[in-house]
Amino acid sequence: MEHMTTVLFICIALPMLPMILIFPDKRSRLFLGFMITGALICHIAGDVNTYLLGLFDGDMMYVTTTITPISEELLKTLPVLFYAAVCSDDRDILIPIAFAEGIGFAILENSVILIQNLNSVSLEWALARVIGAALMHGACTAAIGMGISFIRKRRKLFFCGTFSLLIAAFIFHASFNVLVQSEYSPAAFVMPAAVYVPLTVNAVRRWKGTSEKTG
Amino acid sequence: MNTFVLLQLAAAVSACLGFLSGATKYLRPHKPLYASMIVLGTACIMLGHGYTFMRMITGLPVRGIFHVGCLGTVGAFAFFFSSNYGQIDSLVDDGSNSFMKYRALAFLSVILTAGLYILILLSPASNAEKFTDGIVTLSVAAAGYFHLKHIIIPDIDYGVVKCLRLFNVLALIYAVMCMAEMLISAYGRNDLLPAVVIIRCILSVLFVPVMDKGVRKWST
Repeated sequence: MEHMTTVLFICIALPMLPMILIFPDKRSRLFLGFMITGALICHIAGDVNTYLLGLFDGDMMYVTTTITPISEELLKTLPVLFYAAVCSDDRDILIPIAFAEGIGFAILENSVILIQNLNSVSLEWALARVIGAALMHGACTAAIGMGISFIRKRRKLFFCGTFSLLIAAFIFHASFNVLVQSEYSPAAFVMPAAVYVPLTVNAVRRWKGTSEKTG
Repeated sequence: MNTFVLLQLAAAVSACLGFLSGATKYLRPHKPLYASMIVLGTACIMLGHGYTFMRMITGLPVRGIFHVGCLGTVGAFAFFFSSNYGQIDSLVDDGSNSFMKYRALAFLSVILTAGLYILILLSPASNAEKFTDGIVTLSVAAAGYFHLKHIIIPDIDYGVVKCLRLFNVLALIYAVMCMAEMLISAYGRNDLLPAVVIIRCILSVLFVPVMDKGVRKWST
């Protein structure tokens, strides 16, 4: 069916819009807004990727392992960059909203892939997509958000740091895409998880430290 | 597995060792950003070689095309450039004319890099390879300028750059090895490739411990 991505976007992301008005605090509204933005970016990326596929003579494997990681990461960067330039460059806000955008992107992407492979999906597939793709998109965008947080504080670091982090995100995303389409696909789901384990351990330690101080 | 696959694996594993040795110490809040960036640069080397290795074992082509594996080196040098230009350079160079001779001398590295790239352009390599090598050359030239500058510039006021000289020497050798690897590939002298990759492997393991030693010197 044509316009499937648009249909999914309308069904999944748009119902979340009224929730922005209901949420009481600014932060929650912001995170949800960026999740919806992430889904919108995924929708746009779908069209951009189709165009790029045409440019590379329909070589799906080459485009998905080399070109789309670059285009998708660049597209995901734009809303975070805009927010940092216009509203706030507070790192404590930028990194979570970048992460929320990545997750929003992954939700719509997962739905599109689900619809395209309805006959072959399974519970394992769903879990693997959550552990792999969702975390990968979240990690990549959050890393870029970290670089963008220097936009006003330290210009030199903002330009070179964001560029460097973008490159790291390109390669991480591309490596995931290579593995996920190969016979080594289980490794693709271990890769993003390997990034999250130390982060989670660190977060738990910090959380424990804070609660011990306050307690 | 053939030699090229093994070399990529060795490069990825050695960079991974370097990265892990620094990640536990520097990738956390309230640590010097300079050190974090060097660690992330090593991560880029690991990711780049890891990606190329994955392409090889999955049967995807790596030669004669543009792929993001080469961006690992670009990312590493972009991080090294950020750390030197964004963090350290203003401590040793106030932009006055008295430092002009050091800037001019450091610029020799850019000229040398450009000269080596001209040799690549004259080689029988494909246009895609020349384009990819061009991107890598740009990052090598930008980072190489600051590595050489921070080796030769006198560091009277703070003594920060003096502590990091050995790291800058290693990074400069790594830059030369990257250019050498591209030249070897462009001219098809694959017999020389293992030696260059082994040197790169050793350097990527050494980056973080050497930088760590320097950072500890300046912070104590």
